[in-house]
Amino acid sequence: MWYTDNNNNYVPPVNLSSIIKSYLDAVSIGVERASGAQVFDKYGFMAQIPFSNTVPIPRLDYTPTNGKQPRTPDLLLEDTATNVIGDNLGSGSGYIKERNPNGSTSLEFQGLVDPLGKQFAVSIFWQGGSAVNTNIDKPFSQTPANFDVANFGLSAYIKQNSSPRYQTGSSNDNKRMISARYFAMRIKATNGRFLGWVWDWQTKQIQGVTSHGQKIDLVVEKAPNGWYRCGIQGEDDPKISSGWVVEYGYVEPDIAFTGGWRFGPNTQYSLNGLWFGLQLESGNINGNITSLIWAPTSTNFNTRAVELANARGHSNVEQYFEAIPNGAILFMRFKYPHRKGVSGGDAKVGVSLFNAGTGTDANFIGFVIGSGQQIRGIVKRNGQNEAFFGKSADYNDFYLDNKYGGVTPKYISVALVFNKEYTEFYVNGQQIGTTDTSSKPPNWQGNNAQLGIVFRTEFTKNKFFGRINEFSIYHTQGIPFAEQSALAKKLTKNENPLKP
Amino acid sequence: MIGKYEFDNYEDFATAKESLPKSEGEYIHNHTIVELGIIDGKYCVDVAWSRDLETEPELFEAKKIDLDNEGVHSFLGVIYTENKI
Repeated sequence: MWYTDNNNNYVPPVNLSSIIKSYLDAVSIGVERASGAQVFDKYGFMAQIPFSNTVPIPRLDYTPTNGKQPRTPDLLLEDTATNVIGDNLGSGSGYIKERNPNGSTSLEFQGLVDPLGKQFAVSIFWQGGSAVNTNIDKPFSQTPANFDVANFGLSAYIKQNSSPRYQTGSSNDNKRMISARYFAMRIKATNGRFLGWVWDWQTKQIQGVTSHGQKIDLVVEKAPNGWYRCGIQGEDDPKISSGWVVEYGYVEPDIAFTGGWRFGPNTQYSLNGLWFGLQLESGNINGNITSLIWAPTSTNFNTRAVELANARGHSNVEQYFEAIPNGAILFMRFKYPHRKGVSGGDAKVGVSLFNAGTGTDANFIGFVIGSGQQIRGIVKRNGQNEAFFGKSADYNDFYLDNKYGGVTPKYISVALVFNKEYTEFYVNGQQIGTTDTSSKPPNWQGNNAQLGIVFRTEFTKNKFFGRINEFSIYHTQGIPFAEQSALAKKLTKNENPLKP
Repeated sequence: MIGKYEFDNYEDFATAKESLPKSEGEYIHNHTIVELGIIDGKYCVDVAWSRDLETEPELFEAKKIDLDNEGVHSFLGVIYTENKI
């Protein structure tokens, strides 16, 4: 039942149990996204989902967690974001960069396979004379008007280039190149203030470096094949002026964390490393680093369009849901992006009966991520709340501090268990509130109506952005309610070894 | 479909944007609007119109420009010259 594609429409991770298989076949989830977008495929390589103006393709994403491939993908939904750094990686006096050794014998690359599984990564090293106080810079002269320096993500994929070699063909003939220990990246304004990160390959730790103590979040994702994605996310006023530039390169141990960044190597050797997918993103990202927005040959800045999911069913499918009031568990496993302190703004995911034409969902069962990060379980019947539960979530519900000094989002499992009278709500193995003993299920009957899985309110406002790993309806007719409760509790404990 | 627009100033763009559908004071369209800012004295905007758009909004259509190249900004994986509205 998982990931069937009978209608060639890329059914996402939705498991609606066999009783409603016909319904699922008729109503696979579609997305709206007026651009391409990146995913990690099941083999651990990054791939671009192409733009389609006819049938946009949902993103089933296998982004590794701590370098490991998940066994099942997430349905990935992200808001608009613009990467203001094009593929042109910029220049700094004295540095050279080379990519794709095919056709070039000047460099020996070892393991130069970028997260795309290809060779778009760039090896950057110093070839100048004795000057040591320089860096690669990437001024973004065409800054989007809505670029918000208080709401940005700055990231790059990096890898050690351990291939020993000697540089030739310049005044530094036979200077030994060594793989840099510290990689660094920052955004800097003309007033000298900056925010950035430093990654230490020896300790495998990221550290934020700011000129004036600006508050940032640190992000590290371990990717396959020796790559890491490091970044920072803006949290508040970055206290920088206009005239921004992105700088990246290598720092030396004695100054790595002092803020007096010196990107160049010394005169005894040349530092070397691999870079890929530089991203300074802006948009409605709430300070999150989103998936890579990157075009291999474009020097433009690129936008990934807003991504919305929806599954409006066909009419006359009520029969599949009529049995549900006798007992069912609605279950979802999801996670948010990296950011600490996400505010959902009443984003909704659930099953609704829609009135065709108006799109309203007076009959609904599902989950709402409310403002203030409250996780809610709601049952509506004919426009009235029959059951309403809420859990005020905190950092520990959503995130885990990882061993690299960054933040790893955690899966959250939620379940509504219900029958004709009772409703309960579970979050991560704990019941929220008390059992509602007088709640009726949604009224699935309707004239000229459509059942559907909704990922937002009224199709438009308050979109859900994040990752949905599973969305299921377990049909539990005939099972005593106490056993249904126990099953819901078990389901939401995230103990299933088959799940990531 | 992609549209590129040059407004005389930000206020003109804001007026055009205001004409897009709202509900309870909030925009409810699914279009992606990227404000490029001022280029050569004009306030430039790129829009990826969602598939449910029936007619290009009048205030946008009046300010549409037609480039024979991609310009300074792209929607990822979308070739503007092949997907003009």
